[in-house]
Amino acid sequence: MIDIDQIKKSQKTSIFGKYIYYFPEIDSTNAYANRLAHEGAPEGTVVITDYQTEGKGRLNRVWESSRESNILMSVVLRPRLDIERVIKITLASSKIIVSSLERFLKKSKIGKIKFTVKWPNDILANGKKIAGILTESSLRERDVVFVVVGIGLNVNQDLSELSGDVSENSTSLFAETNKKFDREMLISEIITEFEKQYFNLERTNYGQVLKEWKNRCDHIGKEMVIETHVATETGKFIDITEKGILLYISEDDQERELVAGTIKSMKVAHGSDG
Amino acid sequence: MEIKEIRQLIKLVESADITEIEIVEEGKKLRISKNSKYSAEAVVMNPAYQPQPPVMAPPSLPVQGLPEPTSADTATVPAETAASEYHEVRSPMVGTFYRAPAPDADPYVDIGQNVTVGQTLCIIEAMKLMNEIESEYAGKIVKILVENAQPVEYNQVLFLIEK
Repeated sequence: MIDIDQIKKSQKTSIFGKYIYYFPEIDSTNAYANRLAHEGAPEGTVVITDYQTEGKGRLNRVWESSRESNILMSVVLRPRLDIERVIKITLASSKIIVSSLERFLKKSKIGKIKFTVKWPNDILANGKKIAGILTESSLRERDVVFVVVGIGLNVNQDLSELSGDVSENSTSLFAETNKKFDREMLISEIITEFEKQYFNLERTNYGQVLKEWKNRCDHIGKEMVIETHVATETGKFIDITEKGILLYISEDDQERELVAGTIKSMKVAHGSDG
Repeated sequence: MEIKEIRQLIKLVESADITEIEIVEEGKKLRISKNSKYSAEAVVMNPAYQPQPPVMAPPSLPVQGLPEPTSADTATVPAETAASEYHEVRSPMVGTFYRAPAPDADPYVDIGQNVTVGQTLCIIEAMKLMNEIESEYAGKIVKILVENAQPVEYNQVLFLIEK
């Protein structure tokens, strides 16, 4: 059970978290936030749950999370962002979660976890996946009507409760520190950090997103396995384009953008498949 | 009948809501005919002649000259009409086209279904970002041009919606 009053008391925001919808159980916070946004929910509306029955990873994957252990939340945004750059919201959200975690752990006097980001939507703690961002946008012609940023963050998750392949590549704050954390305080930190950084991004036209994201990324220059519609290939991750697209050198030595494909695995500093 | 009178008759036929007038007077027949393409023309005929159909084309034009542009017109006009009968919904980005929010879910829309402005038609996934594409138009879906889970290019037509 998450205590919404406690979140509201500690968050330092003017718009974000003004409306928080909490459900002990729900199909998916992104799906609910999406419905709210279609009905006109204002920017900064937050949906939180303790358990998702249809938690979404990507289209065909589930997001595994034990009951009342983690943070599963979605935030409604209405950015003034060009449609071609809407991916920057995902990259920026990863950075916001990393900042929130670091501030939170500093307050909790824990500072030994190394957080990195993996393109395009994962956050790693000591090389293993601790959080995922699932961004959904609604577009009409060339206009972004709204964006829902879904955050799944493993807090007090016992890894033994996850299925084999997921637990192998995942971690949680509990797994990394052997301590249980106050989820309300962390949610409040995320909402506060989100408002602060988001308004800054809107004001600066997302100018610093790529630089800041790349500073947190440790697999640029590394080999990776890429899955596209037609094939699986290996390539070397060389950069992120101005639009936020991953740029790689393919097997036949061509520079390519990874648009309609995914990174299946990569060699990161800690040897994880992520 | 004097020329002056014939001119007056021509003016009358031009301004009146009739296409043809025929006057028989003193063994002579005068027929003034107008059609939709050309202004009224007078054909003065000897009564001994069998009536001839009015000349349709200006004599300077070769007879074969007319049908060609006409057939070209009929070929292009319906094509333009067909295109403008439908609204085209195009992909705003490069990505993967999905007709449903999840693999086991019902598609957002089907052929024959009426949609409203703002209704979600599909998802284009690009870089793990799920983009719902809302309809800019109200009308009936008459064609879905992309298969589920297929890559789409920028500006590729996804749906045709009847106006």
